[in-house]
Amino acid sequence: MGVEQLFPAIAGMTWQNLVMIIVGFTLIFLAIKKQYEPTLLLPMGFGAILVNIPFTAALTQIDPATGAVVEGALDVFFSAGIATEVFPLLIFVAIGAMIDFSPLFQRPSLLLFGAAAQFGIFVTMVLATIFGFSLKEAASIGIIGAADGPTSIIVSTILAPNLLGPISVAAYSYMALVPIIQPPVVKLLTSKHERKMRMHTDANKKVSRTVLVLFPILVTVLAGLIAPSSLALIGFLMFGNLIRECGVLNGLSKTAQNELANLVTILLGITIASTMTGERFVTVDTLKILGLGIFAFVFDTAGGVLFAKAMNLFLPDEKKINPMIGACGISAFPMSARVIHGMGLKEDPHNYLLMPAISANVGGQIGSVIVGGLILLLVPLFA
Amino acid sequence: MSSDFYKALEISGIGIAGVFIFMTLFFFVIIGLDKAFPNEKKPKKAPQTADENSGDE
Repeated sequence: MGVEQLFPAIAGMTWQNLVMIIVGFTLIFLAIKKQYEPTLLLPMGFGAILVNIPFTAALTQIDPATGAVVEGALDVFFSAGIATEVFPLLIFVAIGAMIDFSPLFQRPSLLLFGAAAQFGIFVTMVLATIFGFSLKEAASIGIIGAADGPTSIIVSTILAPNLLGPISVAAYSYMALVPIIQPPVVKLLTSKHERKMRMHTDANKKVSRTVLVLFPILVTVLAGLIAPSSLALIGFLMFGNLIRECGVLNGLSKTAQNELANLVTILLGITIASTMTGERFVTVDTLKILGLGIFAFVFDTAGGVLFAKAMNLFLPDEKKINPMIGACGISAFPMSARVIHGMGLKEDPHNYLLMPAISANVGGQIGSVIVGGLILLLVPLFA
Repeated sequence: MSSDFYKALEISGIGIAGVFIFMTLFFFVIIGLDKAFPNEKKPKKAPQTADENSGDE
């Protein structure tokens, strides 16, 4: 009896599998040691190891003895939760239950940064077509710039399921790297004087409960009437928010924010890993996707900052916006707001930008979901 | 340049315009809701606090 029969996993190990096992260890290291998005990167890292051991029972295999198909648990999870979009949509319910939209009512114009800071998604999509990706693949790669994991997963599941693994890894890794990616871009595009600009917001302004209850319902109806394809994304997000704001479902709200979020995150992370097999992941395309993902984040940040500078040309002095706030239009909440608030404090220890930064960041969460819906609507029409 | 490149450019133009239209609509929703349902707790709170304070005393 040879080694192949005795130890088929060892005999069947390829260099791509080994690379992916190292990638798995790296993701686990980043999650534990650096605390980069540990809730997702740790399950994904462990899953990457799990699926790269040859003949792993976690994936569907053909029994060599009988020729029968033996279904693997991760493939079952994938078919049930990712291919059907159920897992990312449940995550949206949880995120919706976590979001407080009231900061938007303090200065609603900051909502527009949620649109401006999606610029990088589209620039990256165009660039990706130059790199040889198809339109559907390019759109899925561009959406990494949404800085919104569930949106990236849904868009790539529908448009380019073959790229789901690298896109998810890029989306979640770069979200964790917002404190490293954004500051140099913001500094490059703003002067010291601009970074010191103070903003006036009515931090004490209270919003009535009726408004907070009606807002998610109206947004859902409006989004649905204009772009029905965005309804799954925006609808589940707003449903979660309605549970939070209605005031009579506190138990459900807490469950959505904690138990639901935690359970689905565990399943989502390890299930995405089922696509991270060596032969699918270790490719030149993956490297291109990782590079384009950074590009998307950089141009999103730049889009937001430049839009703020453009707005300032038309605003009276007392209403001018610190251009750094534009960078918070991405969906990475509340990390981006904290980063910009910290940058403001570095320039001027008495400049508190947290509230406007949070407002723009909440706008970014809505904006990323809307862009996801628009891409799902537009790309099939052109492809 | 491939045809996908030009299609991507077209989608980008429509997409950017689309997201701005959506956000502008939501902006007006916020303004409208804020006007239609202003927070009424503020004016009520002041006399209540005064009453409570006087009651405590």
